[in-house]
Amino acid sequence: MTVLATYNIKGGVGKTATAVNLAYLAARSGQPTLVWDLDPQGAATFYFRVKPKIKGGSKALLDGKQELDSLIRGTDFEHLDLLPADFSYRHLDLRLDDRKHPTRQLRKLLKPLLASYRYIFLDCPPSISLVSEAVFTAADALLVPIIPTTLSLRTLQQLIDFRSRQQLDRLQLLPFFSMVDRRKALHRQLVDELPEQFRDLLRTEIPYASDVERMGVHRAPLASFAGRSRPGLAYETLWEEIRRKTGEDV
Amino acid sequence: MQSRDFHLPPDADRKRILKAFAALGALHLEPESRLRLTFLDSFDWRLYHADSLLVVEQTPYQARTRWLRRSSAELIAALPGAVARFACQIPAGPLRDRLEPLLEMRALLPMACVDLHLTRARLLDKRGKTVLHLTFASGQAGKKEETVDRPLPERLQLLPVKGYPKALHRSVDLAGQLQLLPATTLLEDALAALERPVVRQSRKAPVTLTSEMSTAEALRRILRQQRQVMESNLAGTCADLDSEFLHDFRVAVRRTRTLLSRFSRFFPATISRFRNDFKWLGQITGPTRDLDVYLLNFPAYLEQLADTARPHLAPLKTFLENSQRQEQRRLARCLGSQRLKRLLSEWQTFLQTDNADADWPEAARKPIGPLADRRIGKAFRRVMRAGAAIDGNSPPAALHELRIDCKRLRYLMEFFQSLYPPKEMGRLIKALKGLQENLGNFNDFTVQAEQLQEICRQMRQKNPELAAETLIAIGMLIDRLHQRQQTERRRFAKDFDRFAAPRNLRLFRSLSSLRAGKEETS
Repeated sequence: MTVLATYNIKGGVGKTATAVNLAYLAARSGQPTLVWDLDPQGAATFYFRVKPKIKGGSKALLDGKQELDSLIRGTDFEHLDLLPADFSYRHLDLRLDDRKHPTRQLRKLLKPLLASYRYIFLDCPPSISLVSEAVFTAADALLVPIIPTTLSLRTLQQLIDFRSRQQLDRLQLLPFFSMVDRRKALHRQLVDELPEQFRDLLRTEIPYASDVERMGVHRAPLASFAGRSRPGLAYETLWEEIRRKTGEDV
Repeated sequence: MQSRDFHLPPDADRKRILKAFAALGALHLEPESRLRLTFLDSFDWRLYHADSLLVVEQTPYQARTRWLRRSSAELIAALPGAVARFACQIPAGPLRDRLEPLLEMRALLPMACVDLHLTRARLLDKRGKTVLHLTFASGQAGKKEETVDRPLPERLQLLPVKGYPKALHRSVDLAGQLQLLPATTLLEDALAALERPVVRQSRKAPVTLTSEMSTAEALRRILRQQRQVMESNLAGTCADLDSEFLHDFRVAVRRTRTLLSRFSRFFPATISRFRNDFKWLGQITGPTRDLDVYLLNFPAYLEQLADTARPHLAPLKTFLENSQRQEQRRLARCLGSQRLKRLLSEWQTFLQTDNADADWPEAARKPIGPLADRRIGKAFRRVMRAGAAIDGNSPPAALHELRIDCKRLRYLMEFFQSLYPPKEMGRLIKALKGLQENLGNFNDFTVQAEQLQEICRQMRQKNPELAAETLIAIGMLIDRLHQRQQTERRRFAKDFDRFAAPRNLRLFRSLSSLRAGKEETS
């Protein structure tokens, strides 16, 4: 099993779209896949038309009163399941802080699911907090969408620094450009120049496109209604590149 | 998730059923589609008996193979595309890891093909989320892809979505109200339509005998079963589907020959020509089987050698494969001959003459029970005598003789197994098996080491420039086989003592009372 987390300190960069679309592609190839929507906004849950509610909220979850498996919902797509968001996740930091070894809690919760899923995608809320640290411990790789702007790059640098300070060398960082608008000079300049600065940057870029926004109207992954669109194909290439980088395609 | 399947009555009105389900929530109808399913299993249904289903699903656009638990339809593993014929050819992964020990050398064969016409609908909740999949399936089944023409009963499948159990409960209740009957699995439907029973095609299944049965009738029953094994493995042997067809065929021939020679005075004189024909069958099937055994053992041969020497055995493998293909072609020609057709048909006629005891010698009219005791007892004493005489100085030929004696004893025990209590007979057969394994290995290593030298000579004759590395690798292999032969030899005394344990001796000596006990209880 491989745990992949879509993460960025900054919001609105395409984290949820990445988690939902890549998870769909993984499941489509016949691999049992789970998306855990950790963001209290519940965007991934919305995309899959599932009620954003878990019985007993985050407290019951961390106390082990609710088995994770009983909270999982099947999506409309074969091999693809969802662990829905809950509004109580806004206090997940505090709940984790109450516990011993707070950063190990998510990994512990995921353990019983290891046998059932080939891929688990964690869709994380923005910010850097105790939840993020627990995600870093649970995940094998962080998929980091970045918009080619100065502020986005600053947050990527913050993340890289944080990883080395926390000695999280085991955690693979896989940043890639998202919402790229090649009509903008700054986007073009940064996309062309940056790979030299960040060696781990993935080569695939996800273009800015209204098809991605239409996921909210269709309430479905892009490949299920516009698989041959430009961003649809870009997500496919991105998934192949990620599988290569994580050694999954052997 | 486990689906719930129902049979639709022949005059069912789908529209009315769909309308009824629409009362549970919005129904989203999907375009109609076609699906071809090919259920795969080994000739002896190994997957079926291991609660498994391996099915290739083909749509006009793609194919995939799914391995499911037969009882619960739970998915165990999936693979894109169709699956290879042998487990060892499947790409490394969980599917291969779990199929290989089950199937061993057996090929995956299509056991039933099903063409389905599907009408699917999704039951939605108020968010528009799918909470249940409904599938109407109608179609035909066939034994092969080319002959899919037997109609199947129409079925409705209710497939739940994880986390939405209420939708399933309500739908199952509704199906009950609509008087739909719970269905057997699709494979079961297909096999019923094809009138194809699931049988464990085993040469070892004991034939049912009773102590009072005349010897003639008992012998005929055993031989009929062996003939049936030959017949059912013939096509697979000719087509070389896998090596086990020929192996089972040969075992049935050998058992037949053993019975004909060991009980010769109980048969009519007309039997002699059959004896010659079965001898011929044993001879013509030998060379292919020998080559099959080399090829089956090849992975084990490689393991005997250091990593660096392994690639040099490749020419040996190619030589064995080519020789096997050649011998197999020759064998298929012999097995397709008029001589074999006539043999099997005349043999059947001979075995079916139930009321012809008059043609059989007087001795054959006596009951089989006491004769079975005597024959097993005699064969057992022979094994004991020969085994006890073996010591460190005995020549390999003595162990070979003992191996044959053990084989005869084993056949007798298995032929007459049904006359004795299963527990005690099972124990004795198991004890004998342990000894046979040791003797079998010893013999195999001896013969293979000798034959490899001959094969090596043949290879050099064909290719005088055969690489020195290959010759060295084969030499090393012969050396390893000798070493293993010695290990088996050292183990013999221990294995024989285990077989000759006092408890086993007691059981062997009390066969007639064991048989009497069985009769009383039954």
